[in-house]
Amino acid sequence: MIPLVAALFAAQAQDEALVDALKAEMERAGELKLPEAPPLYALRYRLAMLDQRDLVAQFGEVLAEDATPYHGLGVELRVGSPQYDNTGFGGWENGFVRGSLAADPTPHETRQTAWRLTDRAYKEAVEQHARKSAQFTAPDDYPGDWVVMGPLTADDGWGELSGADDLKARVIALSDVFTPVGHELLVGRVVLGQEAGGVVLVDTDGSRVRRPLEETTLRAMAHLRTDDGHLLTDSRLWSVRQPSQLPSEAEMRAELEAMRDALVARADRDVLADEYVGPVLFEGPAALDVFRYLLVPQLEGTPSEVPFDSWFGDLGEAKSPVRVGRRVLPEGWAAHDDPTAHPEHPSSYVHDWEGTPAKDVHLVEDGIVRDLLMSRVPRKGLEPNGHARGFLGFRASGRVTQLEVTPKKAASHGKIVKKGLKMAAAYGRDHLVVIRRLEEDAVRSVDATTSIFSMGDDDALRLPPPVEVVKVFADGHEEVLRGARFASVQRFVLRDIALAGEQREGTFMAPISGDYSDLSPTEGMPTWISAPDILVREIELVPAGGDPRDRPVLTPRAAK
Amino acid sequence: MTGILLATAMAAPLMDVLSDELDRAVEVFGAQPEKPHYIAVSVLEDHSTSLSARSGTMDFRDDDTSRWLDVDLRVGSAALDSTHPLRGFSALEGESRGRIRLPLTEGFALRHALTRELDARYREAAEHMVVLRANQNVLVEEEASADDFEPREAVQGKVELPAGEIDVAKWEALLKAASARADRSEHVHLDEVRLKVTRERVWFLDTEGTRLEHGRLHARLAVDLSTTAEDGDQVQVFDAFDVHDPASLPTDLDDWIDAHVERLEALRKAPRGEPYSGPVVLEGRAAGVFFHEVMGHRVEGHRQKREDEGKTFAEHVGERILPEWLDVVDDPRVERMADTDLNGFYRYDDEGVPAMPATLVEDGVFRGFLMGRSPLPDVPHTNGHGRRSTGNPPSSRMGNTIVTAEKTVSRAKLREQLLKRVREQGLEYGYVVEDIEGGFALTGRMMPNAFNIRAVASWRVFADGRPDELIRGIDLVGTPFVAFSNLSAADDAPQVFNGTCGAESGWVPVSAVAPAILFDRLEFQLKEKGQDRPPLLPKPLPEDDGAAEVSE
Repeated sequence: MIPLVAALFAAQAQDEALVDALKAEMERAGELKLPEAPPLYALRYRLAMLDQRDLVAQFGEVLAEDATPYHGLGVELRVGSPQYDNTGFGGWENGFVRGSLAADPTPHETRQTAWRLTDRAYKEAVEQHARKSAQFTAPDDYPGDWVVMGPLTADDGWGELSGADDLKARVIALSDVFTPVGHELLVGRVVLGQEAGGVVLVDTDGSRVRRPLEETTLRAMAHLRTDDGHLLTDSRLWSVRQPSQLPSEAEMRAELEAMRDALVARADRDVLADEYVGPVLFEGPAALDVFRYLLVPQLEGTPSEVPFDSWFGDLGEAKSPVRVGRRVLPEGWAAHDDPTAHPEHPSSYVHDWEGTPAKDVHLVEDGIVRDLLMSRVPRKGLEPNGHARGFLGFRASGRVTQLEVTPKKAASHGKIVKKGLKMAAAYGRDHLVVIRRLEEDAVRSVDATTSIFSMGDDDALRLPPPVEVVKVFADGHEEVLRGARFASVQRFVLRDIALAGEQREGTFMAPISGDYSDLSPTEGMPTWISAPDILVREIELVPAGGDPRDRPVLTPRAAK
Repeated sequence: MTGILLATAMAAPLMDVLSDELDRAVEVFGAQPEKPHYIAVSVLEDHSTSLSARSGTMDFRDDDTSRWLDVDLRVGSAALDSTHPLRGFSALEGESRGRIRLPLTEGFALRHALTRELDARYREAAEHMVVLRANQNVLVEEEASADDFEPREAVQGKVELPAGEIDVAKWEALLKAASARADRSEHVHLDEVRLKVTRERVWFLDTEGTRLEHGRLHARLAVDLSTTAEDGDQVQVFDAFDVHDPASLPTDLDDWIDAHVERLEALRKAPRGEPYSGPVVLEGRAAGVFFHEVMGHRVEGHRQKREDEGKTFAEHVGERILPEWLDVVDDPRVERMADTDLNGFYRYDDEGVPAMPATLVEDGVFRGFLMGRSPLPDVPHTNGHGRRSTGNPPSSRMGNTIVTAEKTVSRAKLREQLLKRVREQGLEYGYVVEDIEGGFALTGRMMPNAFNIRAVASWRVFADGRPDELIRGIDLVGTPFVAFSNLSAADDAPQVFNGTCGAESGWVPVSAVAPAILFDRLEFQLKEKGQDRPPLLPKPLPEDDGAAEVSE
């Protein structure tokens, strides 16, 4: 195993030499000129230097381990003009390219890589500009493709990896929590993903922004197949800047033991027998997930790409429309996103992926969308606000980073339950359904190839199934069920919140592009979220049992 | 390299763990309505050290050990079991088999993973049997009726592997210097010089009582240079040393690098060829690949049992298909030929059978097939060619395909014969195919049973004595019987092609050994051509960045 050396490439002198090499190549790129091609007006290089470590431990043993640094170069090249360039149009050969740099990068190798990638990006950009011109005429009120801001300079520091060796032992030990019931489980695993270092952005405007990346993410997961073939999964996520911010090993162990025991106990629970329509109380992580899946997409304002009408259909993003002025939450509710609010969180930054200073954006006021999270891709009436997130080779877009959702007022837990029971009675039910956690698609995909999102609905906003469904009765006793999924979930669910409760906070991993189901267990952009428990007036749940054929014939022996 | 020593020390316990879990699976599955008649468990432990340099610096370095599990489980009987292919619409039935990673330790996690895979393979096989019986019931009888499996006596064997350690620092310096040397050319747009040392240990056991511990040590030193020609063609030059012992790799790489840089620059300027039909000499490496593609894949035993396969040679056993002075044998036991280590060398196949020679052609007469443990109607026994890469079921595959000519001529004589054929056919020139990058063959019934040999460098040899001309952009194509009927002479200096062959059972290392061969008539077609303009700006050279001193 190659030793993990903290801040191997953090030496600023080396950065300087590599950035100088990039600048030399950037200067030469001004000579790129194909006949009758629109002029190159913006070129940006991003140099990413990251120490990385991945570790997978299952039942107390290491399954896979890797500590290969990532050194990469992203090129973003624009031809035409800020008002109309090669970007924002569907397809993938569009002027955004990336390539890897050497394990031992030198100025010469960096410059050669920049030369190859810039040449490719330029040719792509010229052709993409033509494709776009052929298929898309900008309307009179078109806001343009890029906001010119002048040179941006900042040095926000550099991330360092620490405590890696201690973490290995911890990850192994935590995965061993599952061993006593391992013979009942399909998966009992802890995955560690760490990266530290940073990205230097330089561009033809004269910008130079150095920003750190520092992340330690652990995901623990357990899967169990019930006797009737139902796949039960549960997971826990910790994502911090530095290992020292993690809870103590004892605390993490206790949480996993509780998760483990609940999962095993759940196997003996009854399956939801009939369809349920009525009020549902989302508590804790489940409440955060409701906002993650239903609210977050309505706050991210970067316009979708114009579709490219190719011979095999439209190419381009398929995002639901996002609108300012739309009611997304009940009256009196608010939401804002400030990437600097929790600097201790791995999502935090001072300057965004495009170098723009991060702003606290008041997105929702009185339940209505007032502003959106923006990158430097313009939208009519909105300015860049420092919320561009992305990675090398992708068009960055405005994304949630540290989102806080607050209600007009919060009620006590007892009051919410009481209100919920009263609302349930109107549906002829003697209990209130409480959901405390949703399944995690990135975890489920470890053992299943299909997405867990509800099928058949006509809205892109969907909820993963609940880990368990808890019936709460008036006398306070609870009955736990399994085997349910949501049906007919629409974004309007959030306007149907009857009461809010305790404010919670948590972290989720957001995909850079694509869907949550595309993510591996520790992949994605850490994102902080705070929101209250919510009582929703009406939710539909339908049975979702397993297939008995999936039940194992041969099960593992119990661990000694 | 401590991982190697550790793995060796743990070999015995791993076999015990595997054996214990296999016994338990036999007991549990034996109580089910659908019973397995055979189960094999195989663990591959792959320790690899990979080093790669480009632009005069280290591009990549990795030292990794990983373990992979394969379970081959057959429900039913040897006569008809769950590996039997389905026909018709049922053939769309899905398969879930994939690569299964194991921990490097022999604790509960390993047992758990093994049990889960045994269970998954059993349930899939049992389900398949249900569909298979109906499939057999509903459809007509198959063309080739043979058992699905050949039971065998147990084999015991243990092969110790050398450590295969390398001096990483020394090799990094060598690779960087070699890369820097290639980088000096303005036309080498991307250079890579790589070393990979792989030490694979295999533990194999089955319900017949076979217990094997064996493996393979392999090192590949490779150079990979590429550029874009003015006409848009992506021109690539690749060469590799494949050896069984990294200590035998060359360490003076200057001439090797210079030769390939020179070849890349020559190819960049070389004209593209044209569709052609006429006399062609395949140099030994190209001829080896020709036999691999044109004959080798068509004589894989399992293809003779499938209803959708072309079965080119199935009805020609005992018939002459090649000149009487040619023999073709596939013998995985051969470690080295023509001063070259053979990549297709192995001691046991992936079905636990000792490697054996398979005589394919003797005195020009077709004799038989490459066989795994899936018998043919008239070929009941394996010849140790059941192979796969992890995550796939084994099937009959090539190892070392060796073409031997009893009647040979000198190289100069072969050229004379080529020119004679050119004149006889009234052509301006013939071709010599010097270097190839591989090839492929179509063997099914829906597509033409054609082959394609991917030529990299070919030479026009002119009848009027003009100097030979280097050509790029053409591939050798044809169909088997016509190509064989045009084979007319061979030289006396066999060459070795070492590579990796991909087919249904995954990627396996192979070799093809053959002399240069003259064909009275073969056909070229145009190779696909890149469309990118060369880079618009000149390549930054080492001296532009003051990198020459650093790199050297």
